[in-house]
Order: sequence, then structure tokens, then C-alpha cells
Amino acid sequence: MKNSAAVGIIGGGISGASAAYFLTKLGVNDIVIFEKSYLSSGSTGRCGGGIRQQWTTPANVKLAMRSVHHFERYEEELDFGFDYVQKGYLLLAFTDKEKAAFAKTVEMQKSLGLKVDLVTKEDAKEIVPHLNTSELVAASFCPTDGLGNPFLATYGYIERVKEKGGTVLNHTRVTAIERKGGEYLVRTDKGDFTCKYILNAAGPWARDCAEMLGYDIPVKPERHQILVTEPLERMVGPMIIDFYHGFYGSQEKKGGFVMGEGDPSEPESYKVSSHWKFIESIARKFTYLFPGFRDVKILRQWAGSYCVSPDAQPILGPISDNDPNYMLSVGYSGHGFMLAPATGEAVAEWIVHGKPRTMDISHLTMERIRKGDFDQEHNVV
Amino acid sequence: MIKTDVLIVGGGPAGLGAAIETTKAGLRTIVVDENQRLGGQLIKQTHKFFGSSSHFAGTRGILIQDELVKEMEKGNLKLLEETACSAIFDDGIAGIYDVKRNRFEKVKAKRTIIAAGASEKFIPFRNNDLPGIYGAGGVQTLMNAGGVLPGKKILMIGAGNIGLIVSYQLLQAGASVVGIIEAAPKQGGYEVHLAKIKRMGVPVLFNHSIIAAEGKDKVEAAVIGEIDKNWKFIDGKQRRIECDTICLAVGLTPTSELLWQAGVEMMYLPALGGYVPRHNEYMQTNVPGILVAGDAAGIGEATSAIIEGRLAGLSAAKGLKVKMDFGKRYNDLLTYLDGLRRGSTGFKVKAAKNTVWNKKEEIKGDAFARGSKTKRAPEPGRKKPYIVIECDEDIPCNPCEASCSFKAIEIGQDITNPPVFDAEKCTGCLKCITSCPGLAIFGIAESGEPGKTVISIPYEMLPLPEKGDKVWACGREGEIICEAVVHSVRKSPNKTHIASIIVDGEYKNDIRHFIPFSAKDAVICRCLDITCGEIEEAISRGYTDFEELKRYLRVTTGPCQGRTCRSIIMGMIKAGTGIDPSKGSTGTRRPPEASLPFSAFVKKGRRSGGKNEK
Repeated sequence: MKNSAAVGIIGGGISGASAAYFLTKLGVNDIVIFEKSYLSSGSTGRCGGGIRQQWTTPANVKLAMRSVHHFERYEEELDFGFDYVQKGYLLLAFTDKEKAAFAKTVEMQKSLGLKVDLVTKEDAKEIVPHLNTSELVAASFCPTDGLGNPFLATYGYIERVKEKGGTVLNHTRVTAIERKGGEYLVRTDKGDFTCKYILNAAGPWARDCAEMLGYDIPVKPERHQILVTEPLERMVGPMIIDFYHGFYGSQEKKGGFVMGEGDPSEPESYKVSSHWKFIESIARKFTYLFPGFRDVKILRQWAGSYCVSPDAQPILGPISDNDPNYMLSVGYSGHGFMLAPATGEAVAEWIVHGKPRTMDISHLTMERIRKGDFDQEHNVV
Repeated sequence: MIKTDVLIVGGGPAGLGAAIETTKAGLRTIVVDENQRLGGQLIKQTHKFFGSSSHFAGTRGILIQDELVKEMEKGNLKLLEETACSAIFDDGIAGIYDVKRNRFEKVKAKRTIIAAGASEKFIPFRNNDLPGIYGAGGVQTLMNAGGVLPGKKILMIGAGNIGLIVSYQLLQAGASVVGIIEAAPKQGGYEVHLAKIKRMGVPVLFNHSIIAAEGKDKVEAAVIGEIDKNWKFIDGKQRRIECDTICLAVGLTPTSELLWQAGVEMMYLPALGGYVPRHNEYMQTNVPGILVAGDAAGIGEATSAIIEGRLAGLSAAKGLKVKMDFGKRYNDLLTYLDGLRRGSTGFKVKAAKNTVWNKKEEIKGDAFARGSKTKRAPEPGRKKPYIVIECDEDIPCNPCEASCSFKAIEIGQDITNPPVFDAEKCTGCLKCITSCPGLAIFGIAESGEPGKTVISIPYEMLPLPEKGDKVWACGREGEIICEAVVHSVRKSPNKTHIASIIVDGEYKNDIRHFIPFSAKDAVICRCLDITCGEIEEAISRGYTDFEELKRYLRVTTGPCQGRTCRSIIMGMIKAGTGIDPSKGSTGTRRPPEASLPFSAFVKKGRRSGGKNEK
């Protein structure tokens, strides 16, 4: 069995898969992906599938725009469908204060080249006729935002990586990482591997994988619950986000409504079990926003983990100056799927060229964490 | 949130049996049942029951639930009809859904008894998703509980007791049963049930199976075919039968979704219908406060379900420190239950229940001995092959005895005697398999791989399979148990060849046949129309984990949440990879157990959502 690789990637989710794909595009095929369960078993396989560019920090907007650039080319480039649709994201403002914040954010987003507008409640009603806009103050809308299937996107990247000779080890748990003569010894329950580079793309378990080299990185796992309804004829194009009530929801390509909420009282944990509070709470929110869909049937609720960072922005790049070859691709705070093409590209360039070339992501590294210089992302459910 | 001592999920024989005991013990009891009427399957059983006369024998099933309700202490009882249990959440709170009022409520019970019954199995054949194809239980509900006939010309698939009884009931209701086809050479049910059908002029075709349903928008005909002794369709023996309804009576499987949700340890036992909860003889599961009873605890018959329900009710009372003489009550019920589980069918249930109960008990006449006798059984851990003779009847026949050079099979002077097998003399040559005209001798051997057994099957069809071929391994009823791989094929001059397949050791007493792999366009996931071919292709592309397959193809994500297709898909993964998928994840069962509308969660008259909700 193979026992060494140029790059060892911890985590078979979208972040690891994307990084592996972009590494092969840069000619690095000697890759091993360590996945403790099955591909997409962590956050990716439980994700709601939104692809959004409307963020409050310039760093997130730029990453998301670059990702959409790649998503738009994904199906052709990889010859693999992932149910991609671009019907926009409609962000709802229910107070004047929210509207003012949206206006400022939209201005910043426009300055970065994003096609986005602050729209009136009448416009919102036209974009989503089924939406209850009675108390709406304004909304922001970006038509190139959209939806995709995160599992299929992961599997597509992985199929291409395997074709290039990359190795995926499912049901292989990394148990320890040791420094060994300028390289790393990755110990797993299936044997030891020597890797020149390590990419920690372990999502909710990222902190544990950093601890294996003695680092304490400020990310934590947090359960977020979600549900899907029976499939219906497509009636709602955009993803709806309502920060005021803490709700997001969309109608996926196959017709089911997928929705989740932010629960500020959710404690840190790895658990992904289902609770009744969620189903009761989201039913109130959904039937308020879409009174016409009161009798749509809920098929199934489930849950997944966010890997939450202090400012809700990803943490990318070397874990420290002492371990420049131990890379992080963590802390996505619920947005790993939509940012994955850009972050995968960035960390792949970091490994191959010593720094990212396509984008400047110097403000998303561990340095801001050490300095406490945070640019808080506010548009998080 | 509703608070109660006991929540009983399911108002069938098991649930009602449980409620008798809990209400008599003075416990506040809520029984929820998703149907309009209590009684579960009892309300459709218009025939008279077998059993002991002290326990309703001779009474028609439809009358039994009234008898049971009469026995309860009504003051402590709350019966909620048309109310489903949708979830057991992670904190043990149950979610119930009142269909009529469209209301979701939470229930906090000190004890929860899951008596959710069973659902029907289905079989893959072409166009098996056409409207007009029903399970026999569904037909019974429509007809006997709803007063609606599903069609006028019915073809029944399966001559077990359910198939025979439902056919009889269809005739009683005025429908025409155009035929009963049965893949086995003999009915699975009782002679008396068959005789009733036959004397009313219904053709019963043994050795026949369904190939396809035909019709544009609904069933217009069925294509059936004769199969040979090896259950293989015989060329030129297909025929088209006009009918508007195809009724499948091919077995039951426990309804287990809530048990999975509740974190109960589940085990796969074909003899009990599939996944069953680990429980002890007092019906307690490994999860404190969760008890089971009836078909949900393993497929059985109605009288044993009542007894299991009573046991579960008693255990709930005991756990809640009710004062009574439990020893005698338990003993009476357990003795009666044991009595119901004798005989050739009963023993299989008993043996399987002993596995569930973790009870080490010698059971005489276990599955492989059947009607024929065993003088000395194979020693545990035996490496060389041995045989199993499944010859139940007094057929004048003795080639098996003659074929054995080692006198391991004895029949004696009177050749109608059943064969007597002596494992200590058996060398494992398997010559007798090819000699038996009834194809009733099978070989069993350890494969050398842990947990894997090689089953050698007499095989008389062409083309012969080849080593490494994938096949569907079938049980005695022709039901697909899992996928298997051909281990070897031994040709014999008399043309009864020996085909050996590798299966999981736990199935060695169940698998007796196999059929060539795959009808590519047979629908496996019926909710989402995902075919056998699509699943095979995905597995071959490397999506070999059940959870990956679920995400890649969306299998089991439809409204039934995998109830009918999960086990078939697991079998396909196993055949495609050699890895036993039940050792890993089988998919997470999530609330709600059956779909329900948002409006059920939103109180009428109360403003939903809105700014005050922040």
C-alpha cells in the first residue's frame, strides 16, 4: 500500500476535494485524501447547497465571486453535473436599520464588481411572488447567486482527482501527526504515511487535527439543523435569507424546499441529531414568509456541523511560520461549499507556488487571528 | 408538552395488549394510532384465528380488538386515533401528529412502547411502479376497512397465508381473482386456506413468477412465466394475463423507523422479517424507557403480538414501581408465548427470538433439520462441508442414501421414511446433492473467510453461472435476501450441477437459491424512480458507501425514506464490493417518520412568524 504522498489532505469534504482538484491542475497528482468516514460525511454531506456572493466583508465577497466564476465553468470543465442553478439570492430587510446596513454593503459589493441591487418590497414581490412582503422594508438581490448540490460537486472533483492518480482513503482516521525530518508523519488507523505537505480540511474536526501538532486554532463545531420538503413544481427561484428571524430557505433544482435557521442558543458540540425545537421554530418562520405553502409536507429533518471561526471568515494558509507546510482550509462558519472552488485554488497555489497567485488572501490567514485583527462577517444565519 | 406515564405507539394487537396491562396497573396511558380505527391489522381479518381457545381461537380477527378494548381500565386511557408518532427526538421526547386537527404535539412519557407493526415487502419486476400494483395488506385495508375494491380483476402474487386469505376475501367482496401465482412448487400457507380458494375455481399456478406489469397509465395485464426447479424462467413458458390489479403478498418487514431514531440497537434477522430491535424477553430494548412489542419486534402472528404487548405493558409497570406479583404474570405469558412458537414455522421464530434475546438455549428441530432427521449434528466449527436435507414429506425415494458411500444418510427398508443424516460420517463430498431428485439437499461449508459461508445448491439451468458472477441469493420463498458471488460450479454428468455461492454465515439457513443478477430497468427506489441499473453503475463507479450512494443518487430520500428499498440496496453494495454494508452506516433515520405539513406545527389563530418571534 501507498505510504507517502506529496500532499496529505485531511478530510474528504468539498474543501479537501476542491484543493485536490486544483493541485492536479497545477500538476501535483501525488495526493492522498484521508477521510475518516465516507466522502462528504461531515458538513458537506449535510449542507443546504447555497452559493452566495452577498457578504459584508470584502474578503468573503471576493472569494465568493471567484468561486462563482469556477462554478459557472464546473459542469463543462469536469464533465459532471451538480444541479447548478443561478436564480439569485434575495436578502430580506425588516427594519430601517437593516435597510441602511444593506445599502452600505451593496455599495461595497458593487465596488468589487458584483452585480447586486438594493430593491424595494414591490420589487421583491415581483422576484418571489409567493413571498409575504407585508412587513418587508427592503431587500438586496444578486441574480448570479444560486444553488448547487454539494455532494455531487465533491464527487465530481474526486472523480477527476482519482483519474489523475490521486488516492482517496475512505474510513481512514488520522490519529496523530508528527514532524519528521522536514516532512510530516501522518498516523492513521490504516497505517502511517509520510507527507511533505498537509492540508487540514477537516471541517468540524479541524481543531482536533491542529492539536495533533500542538496548535490551538480558534474554531469550534456547532450543530445547525435543516429540513427538506416533498418536491413541488418550481415556484421559488432565489434562495431567501432573513437575518431578522434567522432563516434561510430555497427550492432546490429537484423541487424540494430546503431550509434552516440559526439558533443562537446552540452550544458547541459535534452532535448532528434532530431536535423538535427546530422543526417547530422553522415551521413558524416558513409559514410566515410563505403563507401559501402552509400545507407543504416536511419530508425529513437532519443536521450538520458548522466549523465556526471568530469572525465567520475562513482561515487559510500555513498554520504558523514554524510549520509553513501545514496548511489550513478551515473555519468556514457554514459557507465552505460556496467558497470551495476559490479556497481550493488558493491553497493549491500556496502549496505549489509558495503563495496564492490568483487572489490576495493575506488577510484570511492565521496572522489576523494572532493579532486579533478581525473583520467580522455579519451576513451569517 | 403532554406528560404521561406510558405512550404506546400503535393500536394493533400488540399496542392494545400493552394498554390492557398498563391501564390495569393504574398508569396514565396514551395510545396513538395513525389509522381511523384501532385494531391494526385485526380490523381487516375477517377469518377465524388458530391458536389456543383461551386466547381468541375461533374468533374472527375483526372482533378481537373490541374484546381487548373491553379489558382495559378506561379511566387511565387516552386513545388518539388518526394520530401518528412522527419522531422520537434525541432527548427522548416523542412528536405526535394529529392528522384530523393537523396538529403536532410533543409527548414526554416515562415509558414508550413501540408497537408500530409491519410494512410489506415488494419484489423487483419490470414496470413495478405502475398504478394498480398493491401490497396485499394495502388491498385488505382498502377492502375490509375502507369498503373499497382496488379493482375488478386481480392477480395475486404469492400463495402464503396472506396471499391465500386476501384472495379469499377479494372473492367474498365480489372481485374476480384471475389467478394466484406462486414461485414455489407448493403453497406457503395452510392447506385449508388453499382448499378454500381452489374450490371456488381460482387457478393457482405454482412454479410461476411475475416478469412484468403492462399498461399505459395503469395496470392492464401481467406477464408471468413458469420457472423450473431452480426458479429460473423457462423459455417459451411466458404468458400474458389480463388484469387491472396486481396484488403482492411476498412478506412483511418490521416498521422500525422510530426505533432507529430512538437509538435502539438493531439487528438483521431474515427469520423475523429484516431489521429488528435488540430486546429481552420482557420486551425491553437497550434504550432505557423504550419497549417494543408485536411485529415491530419481529414478524410473527397476531396472538403472539397480543402476548408480547402484555409483556411490554407489564415491564413498563414494573419499571415504574407498580406493586403487583410480576413473577406469576410474566411466567404465564412467557409459557403461552413459547407454546405458540412450536412446530416447523414456530421454531424459526423462536430460534430467531432467542438470538434477539441473547438467550442460549438448545432448540430441537431447528431450521436445517426440518422434517428429515439428524442423528448426529455437525460439530460447531466444522471446517469440511456438510449437508442439509430439506425433505419434509414421506416421498418414496432413496437416491440420497444410495449415493452416499459413507452411510451418512440412512432411509432403511421403507423408502418413504424421511432420511436420517449423520454428520460424523459425512465427508463433505456433496455427491448426494446431485443425486436428489427433489433438489432438496444443500451443502454448507465455511469459506475460510470469517463470517462467510459457502452454500452449495443443486442447479439445473443453462447457461451455468461462472465463478465470480454476481447473483441474487434467494430464500425458500424466492425472496431476495442479498446479493452473492458464485464461488464455484461443479458439473455433474446427470446434469444436476452444483453451484456454490458465498453468503454471510447468518443467512446459511435461509438462502436456498439464487437468480441471475439484475433486471436493469427494475425500479428499486420507487419514490424517486431509481433503477437497479443506475444503482449498479454508481456502485461500479466507486460510490460504495451507503451514505455516498444516498447522496449521489438520492436513493432512500423520498417520502418512504428507504422503507422498501434500503435492504435491497444494502445487498447490492455487498455484492458489488464484498463489504458487508450493515457493518457500517445504513443511513440515519430522521424525523418525521412520515411526512407532515408545516401547518401541523402552527397553532390556529396565532400569528405565525413575524417580528415578535425574534
